[in-house]
Amino acid sequence: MTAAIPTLETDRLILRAPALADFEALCAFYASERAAFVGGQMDAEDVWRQLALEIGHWRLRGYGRWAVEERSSGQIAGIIGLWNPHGMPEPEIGWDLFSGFGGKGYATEAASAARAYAYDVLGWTTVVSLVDPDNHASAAVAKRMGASLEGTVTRKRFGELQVWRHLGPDDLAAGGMEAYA
Amino acid sequence: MSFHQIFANQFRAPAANPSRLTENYAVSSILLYRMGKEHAGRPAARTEGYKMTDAQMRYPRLVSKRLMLISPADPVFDANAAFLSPDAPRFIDAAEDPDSLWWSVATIIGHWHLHGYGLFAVVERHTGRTVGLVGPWFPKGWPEPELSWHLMEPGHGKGYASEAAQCVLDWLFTDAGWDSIVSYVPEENDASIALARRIGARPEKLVSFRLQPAPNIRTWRHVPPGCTTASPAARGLLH
Repeated sequence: MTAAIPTLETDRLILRAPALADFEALCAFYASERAAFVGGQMDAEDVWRQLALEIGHWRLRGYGRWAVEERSSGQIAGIIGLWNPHGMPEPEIGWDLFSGFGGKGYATEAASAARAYAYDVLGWTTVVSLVDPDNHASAAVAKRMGASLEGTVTRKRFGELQVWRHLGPDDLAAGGMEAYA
Repeated sequence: MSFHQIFANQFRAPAANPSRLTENYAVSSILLYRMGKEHAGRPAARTEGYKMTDAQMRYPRLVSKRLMLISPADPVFDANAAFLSPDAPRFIDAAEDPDSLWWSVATIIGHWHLHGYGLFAVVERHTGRTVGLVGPWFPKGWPEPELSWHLMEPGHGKGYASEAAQCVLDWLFTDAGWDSIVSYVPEENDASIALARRIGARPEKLVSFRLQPAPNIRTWRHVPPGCTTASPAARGLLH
C-alpha cells in the first residue's frame, strides 16, 4: 500500500488529503457549537491529534476522510469521507461541514463522491452514516442521498446515534441519479 | 509520555456500552497505487464523476547493530500487522483498550505527515519482529520535541530501547541537524532514568503540561556529542 491519499474532484469541491494547513479551520470547527454533534468541543491540542488521526486513519484502513475545499474560494468547507476508527460498529460516510458552508448542498456533493469512491474503488457493498438525533441538517443530507433510517447505535463520546443505511451500489446502478433526487 | 497518553482525548472518553459495539476488521486495506478510472467499474457511481491524483513522501530508515528503525508511515511498513493484529505483542505501558491503541497508532502515523518526523517502529533485524516505537514526539501542547520510547514485551530487557534511542539521536544530531531534544521521564521510572543517563541525557527541571498530567515529570536533555553545555534556555533550571 502506498501512503498516497487520493484527490477527488466534484463540480464545486475538491476532496484532498488533510494537512497542517487545515489546522486553524479545524480548531474553529471544534471550538464551535457544531462540534456538539461530533463528540464535543476540543481545544487546539486535541484538534492537532485529531488531524494526525485523520491522516493515520488512511494508512491503517486504506481509506479515510478528506479535507473538502470549496473550488471557488480555496477555503476548507469541511472534513468528509469514509470513517472507521477502531470501535466503530461499521464504516460510515461522515460529514463535518464547517460554519458558513451550510445550505449549499456541499455535504451531499462531497458525501456522494465519498460513497462513489467506497463502491467504485474500494468495492464496498454497503455503507452507513451515524447521525446525532438532534442534528437535523445532517439527517437531511442522509435523506437527500437516499439513505434510510434503520436504527440506533451507542458510541463512546457520542451517545445514541441514528444509523442511516445508504443506497447500495446496485440501487444506484438501477436508479441512477434519480435514486437520490 | 506513557503510551496511553498519545491520543489523550480518546483515553478520557467515557466507557462505551460494549453490547452495542462490534470490532470491524472486515474491510481490508486496498492497493491505492492501483487505483484509477479504469478500476471504476460501477456505472452508477461513475455518474458522480471524479478524478484522482496521488502524492508521495519519503521516510528515513535507520540501522543499528541489532535493529532497523522505520517510520510506521512508510508504505513498506505494515502497521496493522506490527501493532494491531490480534497476535501483535502488547506495549509494556499501553492501556488495555484496543480503541486507544488503534487511535494512538493512527496518531503516531499522522504525526509523521504533519512534522516529517516522529516515532520510528523498532524492528529486530534477525527476526523481522517489531519490538517498539522510539523517536521524536512533538504534538501540539508539548513544550518541545521529546525523544520518547515505548517497548513491546518481546523487546524488553535486551537494551533495545537505548540502542534505538542512540540511533535516533545520531540521526537527529548528524543528519537532521537538531541541536537538542528532551525526554520527559517520571521521577519514579527508574528504568527510563537509567536509560536516559546511559545515552548521555542530563536532568533539568520538573515540568507539567496539560496532556502530561502526571506529577514529578522531569526533563532530561540530550545534546550532540562533544556539546558539553545544555542549550542556553535550559541553563540554571536544574532543581
